[in-house]
Amino acid sequence: MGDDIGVELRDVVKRFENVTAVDHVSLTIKDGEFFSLLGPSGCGKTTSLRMIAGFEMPTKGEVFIGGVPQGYLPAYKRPVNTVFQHYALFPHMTVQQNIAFGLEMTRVPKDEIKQRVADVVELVHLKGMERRRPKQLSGGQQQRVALARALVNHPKVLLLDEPLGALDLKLRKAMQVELKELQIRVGITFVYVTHDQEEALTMSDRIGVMDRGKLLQVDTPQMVYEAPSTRFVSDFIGETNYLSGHVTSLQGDVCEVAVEPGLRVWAAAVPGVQSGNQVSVAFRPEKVYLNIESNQEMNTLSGTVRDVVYTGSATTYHVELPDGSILMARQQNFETLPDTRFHVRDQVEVSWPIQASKAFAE
Amino acid sequence: MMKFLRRHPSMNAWLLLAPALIWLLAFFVVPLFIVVSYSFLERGTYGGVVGQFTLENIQRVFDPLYLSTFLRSIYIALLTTFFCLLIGYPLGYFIATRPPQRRNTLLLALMIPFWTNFLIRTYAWLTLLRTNTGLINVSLMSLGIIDKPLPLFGNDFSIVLGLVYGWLPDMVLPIFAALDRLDVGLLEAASDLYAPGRRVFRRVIWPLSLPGVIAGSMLVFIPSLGAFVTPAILGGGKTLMMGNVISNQFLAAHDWPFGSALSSLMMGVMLFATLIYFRSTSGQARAA
Repeated sequence: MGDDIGVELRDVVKRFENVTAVDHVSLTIKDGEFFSLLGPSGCGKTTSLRMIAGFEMPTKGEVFIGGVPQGYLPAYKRPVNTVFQHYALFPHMTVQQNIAFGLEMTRVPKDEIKQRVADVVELVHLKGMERRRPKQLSGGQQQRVALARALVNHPKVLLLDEPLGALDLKLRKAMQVELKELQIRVGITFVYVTHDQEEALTMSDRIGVMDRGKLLQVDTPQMVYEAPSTRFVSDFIGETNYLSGHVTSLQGDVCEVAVEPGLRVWAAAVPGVQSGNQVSVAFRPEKVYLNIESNQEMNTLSGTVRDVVYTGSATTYHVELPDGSILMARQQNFETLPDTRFHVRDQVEVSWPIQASKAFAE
Repeated sequence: MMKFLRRHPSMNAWLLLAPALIWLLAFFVVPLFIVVSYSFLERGTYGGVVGQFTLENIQRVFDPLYLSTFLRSIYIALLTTFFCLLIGYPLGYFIATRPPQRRNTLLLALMIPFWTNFLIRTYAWLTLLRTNTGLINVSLMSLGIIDKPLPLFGNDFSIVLGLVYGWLPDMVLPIFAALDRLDVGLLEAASDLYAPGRRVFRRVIWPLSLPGVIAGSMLVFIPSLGAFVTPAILGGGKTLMMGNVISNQFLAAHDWPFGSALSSLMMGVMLFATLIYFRSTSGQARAA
């Protein structure tokens, strides 16, 4: 087992009575990596995290931390610490006592505890709050205490269960940046559970996307977004246009798809897609151009603008195709204009690069 | 009237409070005042008092004879509280950690015995514990397990047993309530921070359930200290507590002033205990 492995799940299954929460998940997280488990609620991401922490034991399979199989080791014997969703700070202890708790349990000498708590308090910007109780802190401050309480133990792996979920949007964004910086500074493996795709994209080195207990794709944020392996991944992360049709021909890694009434488009084919398959052609709204000079690398269709959504930095046009389906085209507002470029009922040409669209079997 | 109330909204609150205030004044404040003031008066020949100021009753309270009874009452009340806690804490913990449906069933089971009159339940213990004719001694002797009756009756044991039995729910319920509010996440957090079960209990569960423990202890200690029925029946007429002494002063000795003085002393001790309780819980409230 190499030194560079932080956490490994090997064919892990977790069943609760008759529900399979985690279904044959195998995953290797590198040492020092910021890894996110992303998925909707009930997808098994939190259960996976709890199995690493030792709060749940796998029904099947094995969890390794730093190459060491954990078996049925209870939580208090594992070299990991957790930042809980609702922080779970001890209400009867001060900030100082909360942070020192883990060090006291492992019988670290008093002087060293003092020093380490002081260091971590500095690290998470909580200076001056040491004597307060959790109730006297704001949500953001409580979040920092939870972080400090875990980090002070220098765990091999830090597990974070939707730690920013309870914060307001602005604070959440600030904390995302701060967490990422912190992770680079301390160099600890972070396993981060979230249902917020933006959070995962912003912070992670790699993302594991889960759905219904299965791990669907493990990749860098760019690859998860640009090259989703399944329709679920493409749907869950970011916005997606879909056109459904059937494959009429395959040429290398691209295929031709006949969309309902005679419209034909080309798309990159997901492995396994065959001629005659019913597929969804998926592509991102920001990859769609309106009224540009098209070429062979692009699909082009004509349609009618049905809706214009102005959001400041960009404008999204909802374009209706002849068959009635609606495509979104997001245009960055590069120029300073008094009005949007197109208006409802305008006839437009919609183009997008073939390589930016994927055909998923339905 | 309505107009007046509309113009003085604060009078509404007083109006609503009036029944409670009148009740408290008539049946609590006035009697309390009478009891305390009787302590300083001379006794009448056939009960009652004569209007002559004296400190004699107060001095008699500190007579070693009564003081020792008083200390014994405190001792028995403390023992009762201790055993209630010893039995009640695990029970409260057990109930609080069951699934919600089972929990209600268990709480109901805890309270069902108390639908029967307290006096009847205490007499039931009498039939079990009596030295020569009690069910326990008779059974054990007829089975040949013992040759002579066990001293189960007419002593501290029988009184404490009766009191523990009587006041146990008052200990269990506040402890249950405190543990029920405890966030399971905190226990996971503690074990995540390397605390084995024993230390999770000592550092997290126990301190957070302390308000319930203190409330339960007060609810058991105060009535145990003033207990009258239990020592009268299960004490076998030999072992007396303060409640019995006081009732004797009023009913047998017709010495109302002295009975009042003893009552006042006991109320003083209870007040003291309650103050300690409030101080410790307000400290807890700050912590929680």
